[in-house]
Amino acid sequence: MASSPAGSGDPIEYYARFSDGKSAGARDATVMLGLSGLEIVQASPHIRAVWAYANLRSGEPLRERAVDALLRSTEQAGASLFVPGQPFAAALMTRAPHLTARAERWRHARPWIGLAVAIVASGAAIYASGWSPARAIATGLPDSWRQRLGQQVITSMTEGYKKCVDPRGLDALRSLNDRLADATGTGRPFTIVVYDWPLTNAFAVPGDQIVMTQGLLAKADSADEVAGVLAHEMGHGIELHPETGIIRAVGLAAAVELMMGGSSGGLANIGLVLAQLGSTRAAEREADLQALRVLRQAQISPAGLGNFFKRMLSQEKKGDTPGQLKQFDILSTHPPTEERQALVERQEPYASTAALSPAAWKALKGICTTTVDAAPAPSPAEQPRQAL
Amino acid sequence: MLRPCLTRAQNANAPGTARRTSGYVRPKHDERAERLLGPTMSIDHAERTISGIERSDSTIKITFDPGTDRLIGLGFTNGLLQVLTLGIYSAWAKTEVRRKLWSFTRLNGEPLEYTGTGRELFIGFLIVFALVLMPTFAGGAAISILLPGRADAVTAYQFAVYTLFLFLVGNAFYRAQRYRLSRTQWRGIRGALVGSAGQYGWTYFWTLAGPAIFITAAALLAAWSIGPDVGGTILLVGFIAALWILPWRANKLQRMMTDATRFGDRRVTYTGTSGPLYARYLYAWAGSAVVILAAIAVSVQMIAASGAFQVWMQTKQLPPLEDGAKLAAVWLSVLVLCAMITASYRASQIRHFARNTHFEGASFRSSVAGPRLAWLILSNWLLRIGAIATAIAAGSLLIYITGAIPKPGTTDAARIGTATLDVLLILVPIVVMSAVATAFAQFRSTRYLVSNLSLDGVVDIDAIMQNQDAAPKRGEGLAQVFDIDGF
Repeated sequence: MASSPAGSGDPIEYYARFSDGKSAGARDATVMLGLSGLEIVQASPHIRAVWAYANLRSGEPLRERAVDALLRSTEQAGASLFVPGQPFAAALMTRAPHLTARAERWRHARPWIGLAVAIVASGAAIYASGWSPARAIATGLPDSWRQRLGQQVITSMTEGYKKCVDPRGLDALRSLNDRLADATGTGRPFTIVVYDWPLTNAFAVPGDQIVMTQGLLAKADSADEVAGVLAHEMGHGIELHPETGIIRAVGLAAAVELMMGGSSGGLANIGLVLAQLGSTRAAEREADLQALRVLRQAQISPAGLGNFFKRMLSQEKKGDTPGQLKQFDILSTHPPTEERQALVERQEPYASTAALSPAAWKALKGICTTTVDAAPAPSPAEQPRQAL
Repeated sequence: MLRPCLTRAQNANAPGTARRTSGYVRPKHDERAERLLGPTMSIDHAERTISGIERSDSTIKITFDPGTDRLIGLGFTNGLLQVLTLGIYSAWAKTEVRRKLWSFTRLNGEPLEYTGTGRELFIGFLIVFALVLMPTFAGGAAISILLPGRADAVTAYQFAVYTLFLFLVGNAFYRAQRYRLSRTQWRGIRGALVGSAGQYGWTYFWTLAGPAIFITAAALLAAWSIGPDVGGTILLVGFIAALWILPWRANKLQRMMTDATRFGDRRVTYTGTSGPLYARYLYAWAGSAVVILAAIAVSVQMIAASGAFQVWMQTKQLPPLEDGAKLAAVWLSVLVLCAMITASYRASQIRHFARNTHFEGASFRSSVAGPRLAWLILSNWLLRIGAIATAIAAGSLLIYITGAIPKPGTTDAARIGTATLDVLLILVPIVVMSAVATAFAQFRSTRYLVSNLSLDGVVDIDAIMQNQDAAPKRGEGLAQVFDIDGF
């Protein structure tokens, strides 16, 4: 009777094919499940070997329904043992549990599950603390980088639309810009460009630059309303929201790319991500608070800020805004109008004057009577302060 | 095929108590073995089934033996683990799928073994991420910042990047194949791909870029010296004609890859020429051309009849959904028809490659058929689309059931919490179902290709010795990034 060197293992012998890993020939063998390892006996030439269970590696993880087992051992590099039949694989599972699919998966996934939990917990903690890594990076960006980045965004978002350059309109816009920019108290120059674009919109881009559309000017009832919208966009600029949004989007895309093993196309779609940036509601509130501060400093009534959005909302409810444009409309990224209106109404009254004279307001409304193709924007060094 | 184990009493090796049949030892009378094999399976039955493991080592029989496994359960588990690890587990998931597919593939009844690891794939990807993806992205960002509004600079950069990627794609194919062959073993003997990935990448590149540069230069010259119409015509006709290089190119690349392939210390050789491929290519090329031209004619007629598209061109007012759907249906049909025509050519190409691939004294043979291959490709796509659609429907149902819809008037934190739950309820089913569909689709493709492959002729298997070349240390990160790693 064949004896097990380990003492009292499984007495059943299983048919196997043994390959030494030196040549592709295979030899008949028998294998027994010993107490501490597999006992392999090769018939011709007669060779006996014991592979400890702990040193076994399996061609594919062992399962209850496995039809056979293909094994290697670190004790005999290159050699392999093929044992056909389900009973051997099932019996081996109890002696070498590290070869089961469940054990292998857990061994591989456990550190990454731990890392995932740590990432999610860190994210939650950062969110709860109110600290924004993207904002911290945005604050450190040189001004020249911010302005160039902004020009890139303007170029990509206004493609196909002409720039409005009527001289009298430009004078009026410069006057309004000077008044508001001085009131920000930041000493930073703001650049405002109007495009002949029927969409009702205004948006801030990196580098303290603001794009406003002819559609918005057409919908505005007064210069105070335009001043309110511009002060709001300047608020975004002061808070570095556009820069923060881009850095956050890029960081998220890179993280997704890294996590999805490069098959998500995330980096390739960065352009889309940039174009689809939307301000968060918290950022909108911050911009509103900055706008109210700027308007007070500039002695312009805050009513225009609330009124404009209120009227836009009521027009939208009536269906005046074409359906296809809604998703790109200024309202899509802004907080509820009621909330903004309440914020405006809570302001202490102060002495104010009209944002622009009636003549200047009329000139601003007509800024798109003269348009030019949107040439590449001049570099920041070439731009006069508060140029349009 | 059933492959029961054979058991015997411990004293079966004793002289006179055992007889040798088909290479394994069986006792004359073994109650224990009979008990283990069960009442429905006799030892004799086991003998017959086990004889599927060929004893004669002069021929190699290729089979695909998955038992009842279809990788659906594995796909499900992999999907869940990818969610729990934020996607990082995908390298290990891919490895486990490969180990299964390799083990289902049998030579003389013994499985191939995949010895690659998830760790190797993951590190390979990280290196490519750091050395290729990030610098490419950083270069684009730098141009945006340093040269704002310069569309020409962006275009030049994109051209340079695409050119580099075109070179890297060939490189990636080769490296991926080298990695997989080095991690493929049979009876402990591993495969290998010798030769230069750079040389293959260069051939892959110039056989596409060369004709493109030549045609573009000719078109520019004609446009400058004769007129833009002539230049445009040369460009269009030139590129359509250049498609005829593809069979020659495929054959050349196949030769490079196959002649560099080793199993153990033995070479695999390729003797094919591109000539026989051209007759089939003519059908595919002409068939596709007819389908596309017909679709263009139908589309032009539809656009002219509708009038809505002219409005769209002038006012950007989108045409009615019905008109758009009709047009989309026409081009979807084109896609399906062209896929079927292309599959027919692909099948003939696979058969051509197989019959011209030789190992020792034997030649491969493939019986892959065009219609079956077309159906396989199409049904795998439908499978993936159906899985994602099912996941979205299931996720939406879960959102409806849980009532996790952001409500106005609630706090920001509550809204963010609800929105996060919504994303998870949609995303988790999508990731899981995609993993299931992908694993099952890979199973079906491998089953079809392997089941239709054979090796005809005599091979002295015992004489094949181990390959002594050093195997690559890392996984095929580049192919993974370009999404061309197949499995």
